[in-house]
Amino acid sequence: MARVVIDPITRIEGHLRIEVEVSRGRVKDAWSSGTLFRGIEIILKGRDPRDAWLVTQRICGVCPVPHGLTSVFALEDAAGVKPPLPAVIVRNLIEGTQYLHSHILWFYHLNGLDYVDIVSALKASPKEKSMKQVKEKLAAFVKRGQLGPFTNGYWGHPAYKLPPDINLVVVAHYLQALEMQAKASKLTAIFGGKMPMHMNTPPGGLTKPPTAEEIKAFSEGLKELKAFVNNVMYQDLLTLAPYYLDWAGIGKGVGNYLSWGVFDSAPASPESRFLPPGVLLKGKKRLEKASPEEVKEHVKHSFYRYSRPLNPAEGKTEPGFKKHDTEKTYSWLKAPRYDGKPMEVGPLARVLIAYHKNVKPVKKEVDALLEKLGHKGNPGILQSVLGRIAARVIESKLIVEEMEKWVADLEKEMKKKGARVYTGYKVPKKGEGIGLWEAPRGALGHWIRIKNSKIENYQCVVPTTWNASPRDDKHQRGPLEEALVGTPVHDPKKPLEVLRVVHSFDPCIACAVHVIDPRTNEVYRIRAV
Amino acid sequence: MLDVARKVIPRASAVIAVGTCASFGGLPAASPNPSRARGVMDAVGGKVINVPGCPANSEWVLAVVINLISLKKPMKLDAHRRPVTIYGTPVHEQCERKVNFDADKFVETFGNAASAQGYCLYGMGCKGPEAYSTCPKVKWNGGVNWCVQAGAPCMGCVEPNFWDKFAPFYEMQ
Ligand code: SF4
Ligand code: SF4
Repeated sequence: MARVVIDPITRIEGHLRIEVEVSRGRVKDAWSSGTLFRGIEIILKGRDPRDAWLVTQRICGVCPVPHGLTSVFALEDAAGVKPPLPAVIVRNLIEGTQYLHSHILWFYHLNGLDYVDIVSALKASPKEKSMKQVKEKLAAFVKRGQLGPFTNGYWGHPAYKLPPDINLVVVAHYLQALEMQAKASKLTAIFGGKMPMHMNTPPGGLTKPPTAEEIKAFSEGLKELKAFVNNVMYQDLLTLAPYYLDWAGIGKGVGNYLSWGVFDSAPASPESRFLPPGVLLKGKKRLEKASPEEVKEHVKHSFYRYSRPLNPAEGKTEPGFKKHDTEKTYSWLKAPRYDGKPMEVGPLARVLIAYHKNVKPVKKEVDALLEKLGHKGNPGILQSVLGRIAARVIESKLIVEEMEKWVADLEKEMKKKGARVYTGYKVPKKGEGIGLWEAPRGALGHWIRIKNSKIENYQCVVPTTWNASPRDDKHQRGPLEEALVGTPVHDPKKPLEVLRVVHSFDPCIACAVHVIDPRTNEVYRIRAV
Repeated sequence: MLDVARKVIPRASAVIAVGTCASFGGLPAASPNPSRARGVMDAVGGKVINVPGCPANSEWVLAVVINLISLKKPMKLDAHRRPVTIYGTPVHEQCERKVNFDADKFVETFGNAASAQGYCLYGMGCKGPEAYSTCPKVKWNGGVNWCVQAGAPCMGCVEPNFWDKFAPFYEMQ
């Protein structure tokens, strides 16, 4: 038996350490550790509640928009304020740009290189001029010994299946996707002022009404992104998937899914969200209502002072670092559980829940894809590494389509006489609020308690805390840990397959500063990959 | 991380601290600073060039890098070790809403007509007079927009200790 430690996992946000036990070519057990701590919830205590949404955006430079909005929802909930409809639409639009930015970044730059062999791409014999140029560019990179973003890879690993020509095409799209990411951020900035860290959505609505020129510029830019998502990213999924169909049977995980719902169609009415909230439990066909009361965070295996599992409304953040020991405490992440169960969150959870709720466009897209992959009527195959990849692409396609409708709605709303974008916001002397929403990586919840018009307590339960959580009080593995069990590993020194499972969750461990000395008695220690 | 920085920085030909956290500690260092965070110049010292901003504007970073590579002249820095070409003038002095500040035309609540017509955001908590950067000129995301143009008060994100010094940021009722 071999222990493999990957620390840090790269091509993610933040600092994650994965330890797996490999026996007879398969992962037998796994431990996921967040190795950095920053203490933003502690910093929030005692501050003016009106600043919370600006502070919480800084939790993550990759998805500041959902953190900002979730905080705004918690603040509005605490004060009993509902924003006007045009504000709801603009918030959807910047959330949408955030999804497109994040999913494109993930598909090509974070996850793509687990499937696309850069060195093999050099063996392609392209005919078109543009492809020849890409090949030359790549060859020049390699010749100078400066692979840049491509330095760390298990190039030549037998788990890479694409022929050279396809590898080269996806590399070309990889480069194009860098531009698309920047374009998505430009769109956020049209309304938000800047990206990351948008400035235009205070609790109560928007700072100013959007102008006709802004809406037009947004709509123009969106067309370009739509073309990329539909004609490039979706097509790449269709091209890649047949070579990697065995990954539809790997990395299933806990089989429980949670979504708080995202993209409002009316102020403060989560049930009518475009991607609806819900809970899907293993072995049960029926979708359940998602209720925040069922959330409890466990800290038995985390570096916090022990307490019984607590609901975030009464949650604590009291660091208490002990030695890293996978038998005892091994992560700065807490272990959130829903009704005592580990839950997978993210695009796959959202898509499966919407599918079960018969959300028409979602059902149509999923069914069409299953048919194209030769698995008509079998959404079960989506509970896998390949399913997570597919869900991110399908979701991008669905969102870009809806965004066009929202732009049209916004235009109409702003033409109405007396259109309002702000209702006013007064900090309550005392109150509690919850914001429930979805970041691109999954369910996001902010809990705030206000006393004497100041923040008395603030707790965030973020997507990666759900997915990459350590074991809980009952010793149940977290979703990522569970998904790793059973993963084939061709060569423990080059654990590409482990990376595929990890990256499929798009982990984001942005909670930094204390770096911990890892244990040193492992068999294989692998750095940046 | 600190160990790596201590080893690398003394031997580096230039050190650029990108963003307010790297420059001055930023949000992690805000009160009560639970992780005892500090900026590079305070944690390690050395000839740091600070490029604060939350985030740092990529055009500022590029300008500093190009300056170092092509001009090879030391950049003139202010007391906070920021290049004066970028951080030498208050946001307020360059702001397109300054005409309205001078004419006493102020936004009194978010979202109204005045907020779209470019009235001054001083009363909403704008820190433009105390923040030094080229935001109104260079703008963000390739010149698309900037905070005040989006109707938002400047929160002074390029200044040391801004989270504690300037809070609260948006003074809406
Ligand atoms: S909006 Fe701010 S920066 Fe602009 S003029 Fe008014 S106070 Fe100055
Ligand atoms: S305008 Fe002010 S808050 Fe906005 S980026 Fe510039 S310094 Fe920061």
